Amino acid sequence: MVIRRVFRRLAAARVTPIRIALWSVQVGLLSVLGLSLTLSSFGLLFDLRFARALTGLSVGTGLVGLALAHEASHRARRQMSREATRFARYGAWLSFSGAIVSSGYLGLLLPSLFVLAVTWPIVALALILYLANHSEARRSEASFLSLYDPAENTSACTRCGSRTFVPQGRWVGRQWLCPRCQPALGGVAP
Amino acid sequence: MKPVRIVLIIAFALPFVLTASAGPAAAFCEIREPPSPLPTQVNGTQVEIQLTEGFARVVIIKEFYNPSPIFKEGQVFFPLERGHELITDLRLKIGNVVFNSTAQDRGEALDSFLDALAKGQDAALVQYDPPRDVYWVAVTIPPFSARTTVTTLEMPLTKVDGYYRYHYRLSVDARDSKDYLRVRVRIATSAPLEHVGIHSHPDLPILQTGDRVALAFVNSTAEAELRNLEIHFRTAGTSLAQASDSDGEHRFVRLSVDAQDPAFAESLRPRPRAFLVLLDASGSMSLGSRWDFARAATLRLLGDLRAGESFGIAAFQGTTRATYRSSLEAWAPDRHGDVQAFLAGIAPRGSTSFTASFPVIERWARQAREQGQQPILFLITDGRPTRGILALDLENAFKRISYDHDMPVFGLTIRPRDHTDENLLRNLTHFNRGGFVAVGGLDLPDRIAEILAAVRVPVLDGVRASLPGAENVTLASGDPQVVWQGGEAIVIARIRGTPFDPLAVGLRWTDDGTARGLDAVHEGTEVLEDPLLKRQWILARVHALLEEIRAHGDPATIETLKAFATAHRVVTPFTSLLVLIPQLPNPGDADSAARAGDSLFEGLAPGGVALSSPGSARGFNLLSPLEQEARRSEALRRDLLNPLLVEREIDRIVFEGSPEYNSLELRRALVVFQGTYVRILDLDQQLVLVVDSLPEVVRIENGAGVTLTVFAIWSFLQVRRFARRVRDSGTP
Repeated sequence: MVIRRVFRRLAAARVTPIRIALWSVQVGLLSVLGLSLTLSSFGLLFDLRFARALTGLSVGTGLVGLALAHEASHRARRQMSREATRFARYGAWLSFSGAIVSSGYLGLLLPSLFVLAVTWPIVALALILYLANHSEARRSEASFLSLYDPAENTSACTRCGSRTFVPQGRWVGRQWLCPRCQPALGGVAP
Repeated sequence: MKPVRIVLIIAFALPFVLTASAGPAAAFCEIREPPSPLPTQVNGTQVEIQLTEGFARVVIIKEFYNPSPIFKEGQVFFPLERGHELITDLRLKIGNVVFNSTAQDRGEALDSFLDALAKGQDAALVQYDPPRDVYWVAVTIPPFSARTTVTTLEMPLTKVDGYYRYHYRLSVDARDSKDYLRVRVRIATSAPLEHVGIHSHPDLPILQTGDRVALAFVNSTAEAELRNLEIHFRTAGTSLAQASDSDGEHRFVRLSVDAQDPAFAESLRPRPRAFLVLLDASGSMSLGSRWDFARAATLRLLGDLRAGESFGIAAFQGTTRATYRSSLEAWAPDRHGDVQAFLAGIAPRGSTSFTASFPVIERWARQAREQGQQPILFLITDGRPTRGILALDLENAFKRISYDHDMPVFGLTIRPRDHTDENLLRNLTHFNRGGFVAVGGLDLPDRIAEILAAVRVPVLDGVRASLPGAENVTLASGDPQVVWQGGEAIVIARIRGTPFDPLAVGLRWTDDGTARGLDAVHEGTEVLEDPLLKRQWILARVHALLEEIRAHGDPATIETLKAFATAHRVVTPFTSLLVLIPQLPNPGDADSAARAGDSLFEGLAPGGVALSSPGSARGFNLLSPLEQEARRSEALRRDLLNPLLVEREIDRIVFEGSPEYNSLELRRALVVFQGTYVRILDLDQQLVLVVDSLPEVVRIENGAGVTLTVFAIWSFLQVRRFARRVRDSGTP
């Protein structure tokens, strides 16, 4: 919820997808940096508390980086920014690598797998629901893009199907709506 | 089969127990047993110290308790001083019953003890262990039972600077005794007591009864204050005492005359000194200006020498030794620069072995004797040896050299690393008629003055006992004897007669060819009776016989000693005391004795060690990689912080797997330190550091970490620059 609220604020502040994607890359690099500093300290200089702090930071920043990359990739699709999509992908990979390797060093991986092995039905159900929800968003984004006319910079409203000038339309939830369909739903500007 | 099994167990257990590293240097009456979750404890200790002129008798009553459900055999060690203390009685108390010991030949006593164990009997044995030069008391203690040993030690007291001093290691008793600690000190003298003091416990009240008896009591561990007891006392004038023998036909007499007695005044001539300086030039001496202080100390010591006195300097480092000259050199002030240049030419390095230069020291000591000089050994070091013989063996080596050459040993510790090092030096010197000082730095002149002031030399040779008219005289004191500065001349003899007969006893000596003497003639009734005099005579006689055996090894003397010591219940290297308890605490439990032996190995099973040893975990490992790395790192740090490495005591470094390593004769090597990644071996009189290869993964992860760090920082800066450009250009 907090992340969603933050992203809404970012959207309200009209932060561009490329900037969010670049943030995700930066945060992903921080995650990798935390891990790499830990690895560098192996040997005589190694201090367990310091290493735990660094890898913990790496896992945390990795998760934040993933969230940023995820948000950036959606926004990039909606705004048709290929560069933002590319950076979002970089950010996702960096964050994922940093978080997963750090959690491995931290010893969280095995316990997580253990928890997963015990609670897999619940986790599987949650995952299915999430993926279903997420694929719906991806479908509407794909539909928006397929109906996009680059010559006129228009696309079709998800609800009424009328072609609308893109700067006038808004994304409300998972739907792109024309100005007539927007008011009652409290959509946000893309 | 059972006796065979027991013998085998004991045969395996004894070497383990006896070769186990000695504990703290102040070990006195130390309990030894293998590691156990419920070790034998000392419930309490009672000590009775009786002191008189030239003699001390100490009865130590220790109550041991076995809190575990297994049968135990406790080993109590008494590292006694050569030529000093002897154990003269052992009793075992079980409940309210006291079992007395019988004196036997050493071999017979051990056989009887083993037989008793095989039969499942309770027993206690006090015996001398020649290789370690200690006396040990073996006591069997059944589960959840208590055993009380009553051990009597007797020793002669040497007069130093006019005072008899007695040092009892009370701190060990105070540390070990759980429930109670009681000490009673009684000083009873023949001559009036002039002064009594307890340096260690100045607040302890001393109660005097008349002018010849003083008493002091310590009633708790709190009162002991974890300090050793240091008692000193002196009597006024010449002391004469007697005691009747139990046969009614003989009596014992003792005459002691202070070296300051006017009769000696014109004859006293201090013997010239020969300073033998044993200088530690190992790697650790190069740290913290120690070497500069050691050189300064050597020069200051030699500066005290006068014309007609001589010196020798042997600096030891690793396998090498540098001597100032191969023989003793006469001291003259113009030697100062030469000695300084010699010392300046030595660079401290390598390992430390205190005894590596003993052959030279012994040669110099003999040379000093031939020149009519008194050899005095000064050991200048920063701490403990890192190679060669250590612990109790080292103490014994110093005892031997000091005793053989009648040579006091003094020590200077230059900035010692810890208190243990100081303790070792104290034991090496304090018990060899010397003393030691710790030099911190700028206090060097004061410390040197202090140690020089403590040096004593003989002042009168060839003093003989004179007992005119006495029959059947058996002298226990040395004859002739040497009188030391601040010491005394003493006559202890057994003669025919009763305490009511007149007594004539005296001393004879020559002074530049002139015969001189001192006589004391008294009516028997005028001479005070000393109840400890008989024991003093026995002890002195045993020491005299032991000395004769050491000098000549005559079998007839050995037999004489065995008969004498057995008759008077004294434990010597040839006789033992044995207590046998007639019946088992649990009759019919034939396995209890076997269990006693088995228990010696409790906690030492290889599996147990392996399981508890860090880094030896096998199978599924629940430690996170970071925790594993922390352990590896800790092990590495521990290895590198090994004092031998830190103090630069290593003579040679070898990498495992290298051709140099393969050429090492590891079978002959003694492992001094076994770390995770390094080993230190004592091989060919060198300390060899063997470095194992570090785990490969550490190096890969280090490399990956550094590369990733550089990549991450560089990329971050690039992305940041790009982000700034994007923001400026307004790209969506």
